[in-house]
Amino acid sequence: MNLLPFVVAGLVIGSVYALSGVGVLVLYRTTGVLNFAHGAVGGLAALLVWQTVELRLQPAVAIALGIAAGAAVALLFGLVAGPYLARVDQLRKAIATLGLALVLLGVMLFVWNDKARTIRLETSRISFDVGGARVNVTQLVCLGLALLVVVGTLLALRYTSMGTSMRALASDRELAAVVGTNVRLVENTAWATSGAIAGVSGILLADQTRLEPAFLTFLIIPVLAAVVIGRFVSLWLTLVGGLAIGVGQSLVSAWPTVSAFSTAVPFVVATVVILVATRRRVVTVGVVRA
Amino acid sequence: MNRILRATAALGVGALVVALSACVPEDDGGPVQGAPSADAADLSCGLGTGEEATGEPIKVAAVATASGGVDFSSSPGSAQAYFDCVNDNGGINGRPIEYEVGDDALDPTRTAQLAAGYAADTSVVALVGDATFVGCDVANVEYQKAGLYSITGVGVPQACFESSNIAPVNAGPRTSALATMQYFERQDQADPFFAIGLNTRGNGDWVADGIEKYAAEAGIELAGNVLSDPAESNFLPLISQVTQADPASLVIVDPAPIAASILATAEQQDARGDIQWSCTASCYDAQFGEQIGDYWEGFVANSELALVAADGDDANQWRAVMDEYADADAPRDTFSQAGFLSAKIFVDALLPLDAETLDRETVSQAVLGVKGYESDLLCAPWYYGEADEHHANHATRMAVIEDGAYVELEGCQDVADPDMADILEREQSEGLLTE
Repeated sequence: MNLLPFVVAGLVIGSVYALSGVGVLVLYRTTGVLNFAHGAVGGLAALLVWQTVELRLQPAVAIALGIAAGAAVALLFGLVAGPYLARVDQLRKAIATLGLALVLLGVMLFVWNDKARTIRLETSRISFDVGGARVNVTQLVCLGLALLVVVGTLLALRYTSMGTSMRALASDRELAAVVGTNVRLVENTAWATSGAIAGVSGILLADQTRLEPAFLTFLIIPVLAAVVIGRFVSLWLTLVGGLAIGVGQSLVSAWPTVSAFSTAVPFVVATVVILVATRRRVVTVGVVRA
Repeated sequence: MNRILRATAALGVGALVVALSACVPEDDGGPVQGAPSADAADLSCGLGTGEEATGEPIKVAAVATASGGVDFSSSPGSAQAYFDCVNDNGGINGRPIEYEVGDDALDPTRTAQLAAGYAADTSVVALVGDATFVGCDVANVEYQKAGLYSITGVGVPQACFESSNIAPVNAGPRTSALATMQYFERQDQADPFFAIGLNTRGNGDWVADGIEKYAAEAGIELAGNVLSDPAESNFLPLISQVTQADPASLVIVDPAPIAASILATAEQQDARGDIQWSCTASCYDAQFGEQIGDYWEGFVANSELALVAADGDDANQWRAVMDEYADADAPRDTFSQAGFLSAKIFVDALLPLDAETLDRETVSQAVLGVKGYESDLLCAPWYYGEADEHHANHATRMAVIEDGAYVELEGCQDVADPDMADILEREQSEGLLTE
């Protein structure tokens, strides 16, 4: 069997998991909020793109609108809930975002019925053969964008003043506030950025997989697994984790005998990483923020 | 804070301006395009008196899955529209129908609660237009205890067709899949055949079982009978299995969104080839052709009732009633036809009775006694009858996508299912096909 198509498909989906993971990680490091609603925000952005394209909006404008909507929803939640979340522990922060995820899912299911929908990006129509696997331009965009966002985020964190503030918050929130960092501004920037990344990921996933509210909402699971592989600190390891999960899932599904277990790959990988990491006493969620 | 709010507001206004200026005009049509236009007679429902019914209401209920990811509400929605029309036309000999719909939200526990609630409320005389995706088995237990019967609009899992107190108007996924397979068999395109379904208990496995049994009986080589995980994100393995098996034809027995994703993956791999691709009635909706795009011109689907644009007394009345009594954006699909038809069967069963004597017992007797019910929405007469299984609709039509919309490909054809021998036998021995 030619496994190349599976590797390609896995790399593509994996790169979008990684892209999403970067959004989750930046928000988590800056605000301490592990955002379970990341997938739902992406789903909402994708459905808005579909809806506006149906209303005959030009696709490029629709996509920009979708991404802006993702950023706006996340920012709004950050503005409203941020001050309260700052005072509670991490578990409660995470559970609050689970609430947001369920609200967004409910809204999506209410607004859009269960009929078939597809997003077809123009770039998906251009495809070519690579060693027996068909690759389209959207898939190249996925791979390129993941790499670009990882490198861009690293550079931004290192060389911009906002990046420095984010790192200050990640390292010690109280101390950063004492030395004059505008905590709210930095946190809101993190929310908006993370929301925009969620929007981009949601639209790409809708093109590459399925445009369904519940499906896109629960894609947060492989994304979180990628972040776990990054051990909640490393952008590069999150990228590697996303790609590994994507390729793992795709390869497992290539063999009929084990293909039924492909959706379990993120859980298995995350569990193994957590077990190994705990054994070495390198990281726990509490230690990272302490 | 203010700066952010101002920036957000500016962004919002900017986006709105861009959105409005980027819109291109759209040609707007009626709810069902290409259908014959309605005339006044279509709206004389039931007695057709044109006078509002003012007597004591008759309570009728329905359990449907309207939220939770699956939306079957168009079945009770059209039943409601038909009942409204009947109530405006003299009701059931002067008594209006009061219709209540419960949403089980894709949760069988909730279905059981709703069913128990309606069973306990003795003023509820029957269930009409039900469409639960999850709870036929649990609901039937409650109905059986209470002597309550359901003329179900849409049944999907096996349990909906194997219940004593539930009888669906639609044909169900198994019959729909077999209909598609047998269509290709008639075209000499079914050997070898490939089937794709969903790995769900009491549903996907039931359909796969039917395909396997029929293939064995008809001597068709089954190149694949694959069930995929409902949460699957990557359909590439499936497409690769299909291309390697290289069947003459193929049927997808999945909900429309998943079918569309499978087709998108196949298109991306340019895997259509010489294979005849098709889908069960789940893909027969007005939006589907346009969503899957030009690549799938000639894609085939089964239709469990008449096509939505068909010309016929009941088909025309369904569209007229929907236009008059339902929301303009309410779906005009097979489920909607099914809900309408179940309501019509119910009303026609009650009209000959004395309106004063209507209670659960007399209504149940009338519903059980329905037989040989003819409608141009159906292919063969519909019936209820006392039995442990109800599967009256086993003759369907085929449709094909032309210019992005479905048109009729083949008229009514009876569908053979090796497991339906008992039902066919009872149709004859009990004379269920004639009034």
